Amino acid sequence: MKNKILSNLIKFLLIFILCSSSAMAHKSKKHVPGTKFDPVVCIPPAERTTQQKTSDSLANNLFHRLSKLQQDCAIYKIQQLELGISEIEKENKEMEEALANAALCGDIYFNHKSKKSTKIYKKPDLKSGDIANVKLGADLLYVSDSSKNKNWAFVLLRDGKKCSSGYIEGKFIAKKDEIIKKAPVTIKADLISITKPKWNKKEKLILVPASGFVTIKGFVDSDKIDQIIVNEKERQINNDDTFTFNIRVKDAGSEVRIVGNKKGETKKTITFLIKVK
Amino acid sequence: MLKKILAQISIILIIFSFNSILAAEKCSPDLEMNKGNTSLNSEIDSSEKGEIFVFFDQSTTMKGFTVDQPGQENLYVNIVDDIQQIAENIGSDIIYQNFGNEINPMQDRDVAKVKTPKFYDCSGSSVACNNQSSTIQEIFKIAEELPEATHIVVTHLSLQDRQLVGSESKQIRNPLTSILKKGKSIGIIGVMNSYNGTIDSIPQKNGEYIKYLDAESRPFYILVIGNQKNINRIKADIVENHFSSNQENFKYALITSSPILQNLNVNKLIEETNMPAKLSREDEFNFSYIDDYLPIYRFTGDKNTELKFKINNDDIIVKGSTGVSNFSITEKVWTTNKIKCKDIKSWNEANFGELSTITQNKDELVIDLFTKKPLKKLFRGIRYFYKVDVYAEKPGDSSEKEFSNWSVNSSEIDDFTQTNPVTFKTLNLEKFVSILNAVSGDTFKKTLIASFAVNFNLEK
Repeated sequence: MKNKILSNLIKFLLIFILCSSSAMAHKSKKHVPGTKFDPVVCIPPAERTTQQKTSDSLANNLFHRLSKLQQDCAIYKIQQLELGISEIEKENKEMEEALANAALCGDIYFNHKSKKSTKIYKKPDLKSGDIANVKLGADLLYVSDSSKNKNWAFVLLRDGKKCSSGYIEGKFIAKKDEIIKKAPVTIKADLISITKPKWNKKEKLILVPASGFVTIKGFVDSDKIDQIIVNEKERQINNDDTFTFNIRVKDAGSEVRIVGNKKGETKKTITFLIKVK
Repeated sequence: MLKKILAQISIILIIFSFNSILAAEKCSPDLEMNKGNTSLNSEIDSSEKGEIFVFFDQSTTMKGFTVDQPGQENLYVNIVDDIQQIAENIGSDIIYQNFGNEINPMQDRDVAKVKTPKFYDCSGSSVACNNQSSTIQEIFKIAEELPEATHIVVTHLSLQDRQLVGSESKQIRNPLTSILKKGKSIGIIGVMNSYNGTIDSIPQKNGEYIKYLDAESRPFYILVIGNQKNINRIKADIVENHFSSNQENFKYALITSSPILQNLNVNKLIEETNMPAKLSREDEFNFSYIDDYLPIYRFTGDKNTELKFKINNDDIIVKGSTGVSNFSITEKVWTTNKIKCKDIKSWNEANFGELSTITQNKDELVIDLFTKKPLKKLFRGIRYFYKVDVYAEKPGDSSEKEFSNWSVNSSEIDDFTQTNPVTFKTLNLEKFVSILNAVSGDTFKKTLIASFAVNFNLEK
């Protein structure tokens, strides 16, 4: 009876061991990363011994199979190819990231945003294939309406660091508040600067295409100028340090005198001519 | 024959002597004639042609007026042509400019392009172009600086809220006040036109701005700042050329500091017919002027005598102007116990308080005499001399009503856009016109438009 119980127990253990699919292989630092196998070593045919070459010949000609060494070399080549693909993929990813962080999205004011969750498309057509998902309120840079379909517009989409271009349905674009263009700080070296129209001779002459009224735009260094007087008439300096005034340019040309004061004391005077080309 | 001639001469002499007796009579009290401002609406009407400044709105949304819309009439191209032609006719020197964010002078070859879509293509950066708006206030400043010139502005006239409040609003109000004070006027001509383009900068309730692309018609406007003669000529030419048969798509308003055409007494335009015809059949009826200024209706009446003095609105109000919303009267009464003029030695000024009322309807101004204190309550056996001065107190707002159905407020435009309108309205047009009216009201002065008197005694 005891022997019978013992033999049943042994049988049960044997069945359990045989049914178990998990290998009991041990872990080793020598294994190929991510596997439980030692790295395959490939001995090139030229470096094989006579005995190894005979073994290859026997396996090929008699059993019509690859020899163990030939199998190792084939596996090695596959492993190398796989390694190459993953490296290419890694490079691609790096390139994509680099492109996504390109200057396009760096310093542009995104003047619009999306009104609803939607997509941007390759063409002004819903069937053209989408490029990216557009979340509600995502920043958009409106570039232009589509010339083929006025209900679509070409935009740049900013989503985090990524920036994608494509077409979006016009009804999903909402304009943000008015953009206040600040005076370019980098060229604030002049106490009074005229930005439009362009100088033909700096602080001496501006040429315009025809006689009539023209808007002169400029800005001041507000640290040094707090009052602008143009042809004896005070003009407003805006919060962003810019000023604007209109001048009538007669056929014979017109002289403009801009005086910049700080606390009533004249700091800069520009007198120039505006003439018709 | 000789006898006949002598008889006629003697009759004439008798009539003359009778008139001179009348003149000697004290048939009216001593009156101080308040002739008010006798030179109403007398703009400096120089026959010399002046400078004309023409401003074409070049903001990108104007492009839609140049692109034909199937099934809709495109008048923009023709009217722009007309404006150029009219300007050449009424001006000595025509100076063309375009405007959007800024004003720029135009070469002659560019003027011809105004009718083409290409003129409205923005050459700046996408951000700069996208924010293109019409700085109309800058043109008002120019008009203020050059009041003697005529300024013609072609624009969509959609104004954002921020342009109509605070300091930006002052940039519109102050120059306009100055223009009107200088006796100049502002004409607004509105034309409903086909539209095939993008209406941008439509404010939403959440503070964002959207575009609208499905409009098939939309109004554009021609503002004319200058003297009324030129404004009327431009308006008349446009009406004659395009709206002679149907003015459904045409609107016009004239904003002026003086919507009063004239003082009726100065030109002696008050006649017997201003009073009911029955009055002339009353006993001893006589109608005459004193000092070539004050018309007097003299009669013997009774408690049933109807006394309604009527003035045609067209005789006193400049056509197309804001009109007058409020009139007033001042009344003075003198009495004497002598019925016959030859017996009157003096008149006594009496205080009867308010006697009459004044009302205005679509066609007429009506002064209903003795409605507050009826004739039946006056004593018989006394002669009354009752003088009425009629004043315009406050300019009207008819132009606001005229344009109201082409206007949409910023608070309503979001819902309006949701209805997918085919005809798009002008943002804040009514507010803009109300600003013009307010400015006109500020510069308006109480104006005497007519004076008359009734001289009567009452019978039982």
